[in-house]
Amino acid sequence: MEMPRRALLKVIVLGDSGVGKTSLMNQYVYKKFSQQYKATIGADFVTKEVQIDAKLVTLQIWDTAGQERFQSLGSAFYRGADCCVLVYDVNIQKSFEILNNWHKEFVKQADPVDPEAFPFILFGNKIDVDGGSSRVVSEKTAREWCASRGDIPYFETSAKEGYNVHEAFLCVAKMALAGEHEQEHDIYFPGISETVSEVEQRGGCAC
Amino acid sequence: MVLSNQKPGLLLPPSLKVISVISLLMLSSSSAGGGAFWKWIVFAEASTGNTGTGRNGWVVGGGLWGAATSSSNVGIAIAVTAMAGIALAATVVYSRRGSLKSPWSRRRRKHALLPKQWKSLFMPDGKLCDGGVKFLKKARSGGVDPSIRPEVWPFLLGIYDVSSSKEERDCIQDEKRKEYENLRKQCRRHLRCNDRSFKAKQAVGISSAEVSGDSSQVMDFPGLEDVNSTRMTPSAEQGNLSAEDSDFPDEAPQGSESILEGGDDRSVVTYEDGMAGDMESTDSNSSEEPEIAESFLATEFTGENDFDLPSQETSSPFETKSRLNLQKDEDFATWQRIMRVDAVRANGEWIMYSPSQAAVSEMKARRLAESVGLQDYDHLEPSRIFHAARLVTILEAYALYDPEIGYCQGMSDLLSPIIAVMEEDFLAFWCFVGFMKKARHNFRLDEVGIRRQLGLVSKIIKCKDSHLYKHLEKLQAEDCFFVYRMVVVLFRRELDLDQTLCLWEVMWADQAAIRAGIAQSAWGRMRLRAPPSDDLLLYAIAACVLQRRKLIIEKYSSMDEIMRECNSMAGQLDVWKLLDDAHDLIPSKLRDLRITSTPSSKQKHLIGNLFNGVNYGILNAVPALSDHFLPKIVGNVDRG
Repeated sequence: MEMPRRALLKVIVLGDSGVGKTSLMNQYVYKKFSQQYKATIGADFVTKEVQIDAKLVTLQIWDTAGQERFQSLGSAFYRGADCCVLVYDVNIQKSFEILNNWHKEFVKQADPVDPEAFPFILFGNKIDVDGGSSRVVSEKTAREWCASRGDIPYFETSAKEGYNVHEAFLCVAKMALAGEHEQEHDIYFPGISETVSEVEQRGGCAC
Repeated sequence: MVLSNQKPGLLLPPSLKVISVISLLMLSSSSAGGGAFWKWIVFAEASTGNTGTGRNGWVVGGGLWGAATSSSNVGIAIAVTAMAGIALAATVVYSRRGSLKSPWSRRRRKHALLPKQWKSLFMPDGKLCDGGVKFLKKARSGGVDPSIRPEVWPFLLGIYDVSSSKEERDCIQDEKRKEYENLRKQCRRHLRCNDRSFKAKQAVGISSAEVSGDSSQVMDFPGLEDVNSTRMTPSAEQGNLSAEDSDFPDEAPQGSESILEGGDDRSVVTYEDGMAGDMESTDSNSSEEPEIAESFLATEFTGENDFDLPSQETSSPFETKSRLNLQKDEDFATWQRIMRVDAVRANGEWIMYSPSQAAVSEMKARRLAESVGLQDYDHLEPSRIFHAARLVTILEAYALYDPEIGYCQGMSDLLSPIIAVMEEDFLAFWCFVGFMKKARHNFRLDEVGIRRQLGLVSKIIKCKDSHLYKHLEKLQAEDCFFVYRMVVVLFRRELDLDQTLCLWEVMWADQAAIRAGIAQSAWGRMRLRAPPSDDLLLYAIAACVLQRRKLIIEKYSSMDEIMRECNSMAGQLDVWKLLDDAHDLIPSKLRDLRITSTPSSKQKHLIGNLFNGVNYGILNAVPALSDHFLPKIVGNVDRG
């Protein structure tokens, strides 16, 4: 049964505070960069239409707060995710170490049907800083971690310079779409929308 | 009963006003045809008939409430509940707008508390006249003029009691200054130790790490913040900085003078001390320092996560239980890291409001930034570097003061405007502490606070607009997570700085009035019919959602879209409209309860019960919880 339904792919971006989650998303969607994005409180999202193999899909990319204590908030937002993007700052060791936590928490809270098969992807961001001289996590280390997590794809990015951002998110879209064929979940109910009834618009004076 | 067939918008018989029995009638006619109720709650005044004002308000759509409440007598409530069709539950019979004396309605709104008025409020002994009632009423109805904010906020935020004398305030100021400086000493010690352990970790753990400079680099200007925390003096600008005196806690300077006097010969202190030795000496020598900070530090370095502090006499008023579990995930170093990240990305909206701080010299700004270990700030102007550094300075002190909360993202949003207004760090710190007394619960690791707040917003919406609530339920959004950010940073992201401060001042004035136990009679005398609410913010948030009810019901089919809407309200809200709408949501019964007793757990319990539906009967009887609110929003009410 091929219902022509709107392909909305939900992507969750996770990672430590200040690694550049908001910047990556805004670079990808609006092609702009600012040093001044404020800390994300709660969650927010942006959307982007992407064409993949002649299929038009809408990526709904969720930005989340980076502080660990917000993790348990996650369950409200993780629901129905098609892909999870983990981000760390290649210049900050701690942001890399903490990835295990985010990975674990996501699996726990999003509770995907098959955690092993759920599509994760890793971005190592801020590779532009100091021309790479302040880097503390090597690409090799990052790739090893990815391998240990079931060969998750890895991208080195610079949200500031727009480097590799488009490619990385394209990969996200493909993975999400591939996974989406296998999972059935409620993304959108186009039918749920309703109108405020006539009665109500009159102030409810009908009785 | 005659009334049961009344249609909304009809005139009520004048004879109603002589009803002298307090009666609550809830007629539910047959339940066929849907589950929704009409609630007509009619207030008539007591039998004296001594109404005076508001008499022309007998039109159901208008001043009924005014007639009832303008009398000094207790109003009589008669609730007539009748059945109505589906989807009518939330709609309304009358609006009491214009009759409830919302101090924020366009018609009644007053200007801000002006410098001249502020001066005239003080009596010769330096006490506020009228026990502060007039002051709080004024601040509450129009906010505070920017020029006197630095003087007024310490009263609103509880550093000074509204009934304090000048002498008492001077005394408190000295104590607070000293207490803050002690906290900062703890922080500096911490920074030093962290710096070392960080470098050590880098050297050991990551071969490719660039360990630049020597380890004491960041501490080259250790004492600048002390100067900043006291009065601004030329010597601070000249770099005549006071010492890092943390190793001499018992000789802590008690004011700006002593800091500056002692500056020269105490500079450049023992950065080379061993970490452990340093901590030991601290523990043994610093009996006058806040012990909560001591324990915290000690814990940090012994590698244990035991934050269940003994019940020492701490400077922090907050409970310490359950810290054991809470502290496992985040430590002081984590907080420092995040607060620095957040500080450099604080916006510069405040600059136009604080010309003196905007004019800070680059040297001074950079020195302070280095002394608190700020990083990645080269792209910022001096004023913003300085601001960011002050943010870290005070947030660190707060994290030690209140280790149960430590630092949580969003707190810098709350502190930034305070820093912009208060030039002295110690006053900014204590103002922040006053603000956080309530706000801190939103940041708790166990999320109890934020869940309570969201739960209350949800209940308010449920009571006011069951149709909207049902829609939210359908979208699984009834938990109101979409207003999360508004709750946590109190509209800071939605309103511009000036409007935010007005909102906060109104809130603070409410809380100060409750704290001061200002009785109902006092507010009554002032003819202010909107007594303080501890949860004004939540009503404002609910009002904000209700303002968009039509959009939400008609257009939005997922929680995501509602969240999007809520996160995109920046620049679209007007604080006074918001407060005016919020005012109409506050149950007046609740108001009565709230102001007749001091703020206590009892109150919280009460409001909790009311909203949890434990006393749902009462809830129905509470006049303002009847569905009077919607017509304003729908804008299509037949007001008879």
